[in-house]
Amino acid sequence: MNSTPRCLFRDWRTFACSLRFQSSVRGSEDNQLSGWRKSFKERGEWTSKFELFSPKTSSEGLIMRMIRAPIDLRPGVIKRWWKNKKEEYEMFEQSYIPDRHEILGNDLAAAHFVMYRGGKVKFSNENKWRAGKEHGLPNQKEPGYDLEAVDASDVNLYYQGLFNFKDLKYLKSLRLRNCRHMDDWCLDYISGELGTLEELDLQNCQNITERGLACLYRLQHLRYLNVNGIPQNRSFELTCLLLEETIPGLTIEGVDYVKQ
Amino acid sequence: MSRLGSHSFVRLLKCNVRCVRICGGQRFKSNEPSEFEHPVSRTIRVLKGDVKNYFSLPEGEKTFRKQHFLSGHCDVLVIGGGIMGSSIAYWLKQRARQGLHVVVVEKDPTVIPNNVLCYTSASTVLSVGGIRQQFSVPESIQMSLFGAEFLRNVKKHLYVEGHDPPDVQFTPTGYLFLATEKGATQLEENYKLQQELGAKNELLSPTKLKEKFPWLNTEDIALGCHGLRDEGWFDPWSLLDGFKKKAINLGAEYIQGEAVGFKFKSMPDVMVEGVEPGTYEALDSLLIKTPSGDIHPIKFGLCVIAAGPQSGAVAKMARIGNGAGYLQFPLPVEPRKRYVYAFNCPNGPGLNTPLTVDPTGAYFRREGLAGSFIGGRSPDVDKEPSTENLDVDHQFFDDYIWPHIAKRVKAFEGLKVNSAWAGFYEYNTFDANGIVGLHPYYQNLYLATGFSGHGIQHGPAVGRAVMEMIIDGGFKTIDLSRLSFDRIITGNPILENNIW
Repeated sequence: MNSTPRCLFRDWRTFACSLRFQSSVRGSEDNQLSGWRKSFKERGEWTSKFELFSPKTSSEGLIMRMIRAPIDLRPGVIKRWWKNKKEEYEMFEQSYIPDRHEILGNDLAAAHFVMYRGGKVKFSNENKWRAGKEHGLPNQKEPGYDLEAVDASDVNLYYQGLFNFKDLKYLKSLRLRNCRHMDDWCLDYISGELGTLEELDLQNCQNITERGLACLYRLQHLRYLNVNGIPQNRSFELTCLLLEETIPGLTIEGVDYVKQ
Repeated sequence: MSRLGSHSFVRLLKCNVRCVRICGGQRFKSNEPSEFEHPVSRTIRVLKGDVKNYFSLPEGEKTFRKQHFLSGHCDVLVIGGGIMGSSIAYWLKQRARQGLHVVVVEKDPTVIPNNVLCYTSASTVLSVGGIRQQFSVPESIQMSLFGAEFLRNVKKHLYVEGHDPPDVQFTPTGYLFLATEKGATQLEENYKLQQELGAKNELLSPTKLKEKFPWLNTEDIALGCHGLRDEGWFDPWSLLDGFKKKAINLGAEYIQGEAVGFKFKSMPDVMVEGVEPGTYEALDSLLIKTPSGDIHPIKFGLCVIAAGPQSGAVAKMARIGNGAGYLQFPLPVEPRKRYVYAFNCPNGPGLNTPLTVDPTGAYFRREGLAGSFIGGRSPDVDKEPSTENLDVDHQFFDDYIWPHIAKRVKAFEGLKVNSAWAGFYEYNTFDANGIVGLHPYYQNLYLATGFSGHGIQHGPAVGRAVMEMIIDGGFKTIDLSRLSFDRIITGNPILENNIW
């Protein structure tokens, strides 16, 4: 069994993969290396006490890394290190928790996730937006709560946070205004996972380029796309034009085709 | 290491060395002493250099300083400075820092005036740069998943102070594998394995295919598999450049030179499994031919062969293939020339063009937005082009590629080829999958080669795997023990179950 604690994996997928992979590959009959060539140690021949220090039996971890890293006490470097640490923590906080989706079901889990961080959600059977930490949503799976719209603007969502939007069959609108960390990879995830989207708001998501925008062709039901505030160039405008052609019924707001 | 017996001490003073290395990895530029240097003035010079280095800025400032001298010995020597070699150098240095002295030897013949290597014929930069998880070998899927994760965070991993973070320009458009009746079951099995390991793709029936991709001709197609996440293409040059700059920033040394031979050292006391006691000959140093024509030896502790298509030839220099016992099995990696054609088709498929792979093996993808595409195909086994040079055979496109893609996409009947280029696959003739790990005979030789066209997407993962082998003694994250050289000796190929 994998003994590395879960928190060391930034992304639950890598952790889950390593578990599955170990059981599926190591034990398979395909692996014929176990028999044909044995090292002296495995054959039971003499080994010295230095074997305790061999790389296979010891593991280095944090201490050795800290000893080897050069000491750089410049204020700029320390600031950057601290900023990276905070980001890492935030990404870990936003990562997917399988238990949450087991207990609450996909829709409620996503709703809890968004509202806890200051976003708003709307269910298909209601007409009002729900927000705030005291939301009164059920703590267990309950039918009838189909997530229809998510407003995660200003929530500072990372790529890892997007994994909480999984298997949302009724999601029609996703607003990600001012989420600086949304980039092409996030659009890749959104277009692959949330195929029912009809409205996508990416205002002020500065890290998006035309390459990520091009992959939105997968959202065949998309009707409204907002790209205000994203740095634009000729390729960007051309991509928007082609996107409007590829997806029937799409209007893109925030791009100016007629330029001086 | 220098023992300060008087005999070797005097020899050290008298010989015409171009640099002297201080233990611990610090370097300094030395004047070339052409005559005897007084020990006291030499001591003062060395100490002055030490003091200067102590207060100097971190490695970053030394990044592009010209190399006036070549190391005489190192801890880890990586033969080949392409994506594999640079990835290995990066992972080793970012973990071991000053603890390991890593030297990368790259032979690329073109050098622009300020000593920056150009990589005009290296396979890495000629690659199409695709990344996909649609394999049938679990290790390949794992490596590609990690590759995608690495690329996603590349700005953080390969950040060098004072320079722009590398921009790999990833285009997330996915791969579309098409299968006829014959290959449909295999495609479905592959899909199940990929889902199990965490990839995201979808199986599409012909009607669904026609709905999503109206330009596609689904006449003889039974099933298609469309990648939905972490699949697409990126710029291999930026990734290579990023790895190299970061490795140099962390202290790795890139030497321009061509490996021409190894020096061996007989070690009769060493006992190696499967080798007659008393006959073991270790690899001692590598002979490098510098651009000026001199032969320069570099003594190493560990050596990694990551020389791409020339790995087989380099291994032959180490007697792999022309020896006895384990050394009778050659490294089955040789260059195979592959063509890539850039063509233009104004009324071709639009934005919704993933990298489509026909059941015949012909592939094409969108390049840019103005109706340009890139396509190619692996030739049949008996029609391999000669690997003497990188000249392109334009007839190959008309005979073997155009009929298939024109059948698949009607609009391609009117396409026009703009340009083409060729590159070498580091083709593993045994089973077309990579070879990673320690060689069974040599206790200090690692292999990381033979990826047959998938090297660029597996680069980050293989680099990390070799780093774990060297520093931790075994694979810690992705277990690549099935991909070791042993399978060539036991004759167990790990074949990719292609659907064509």
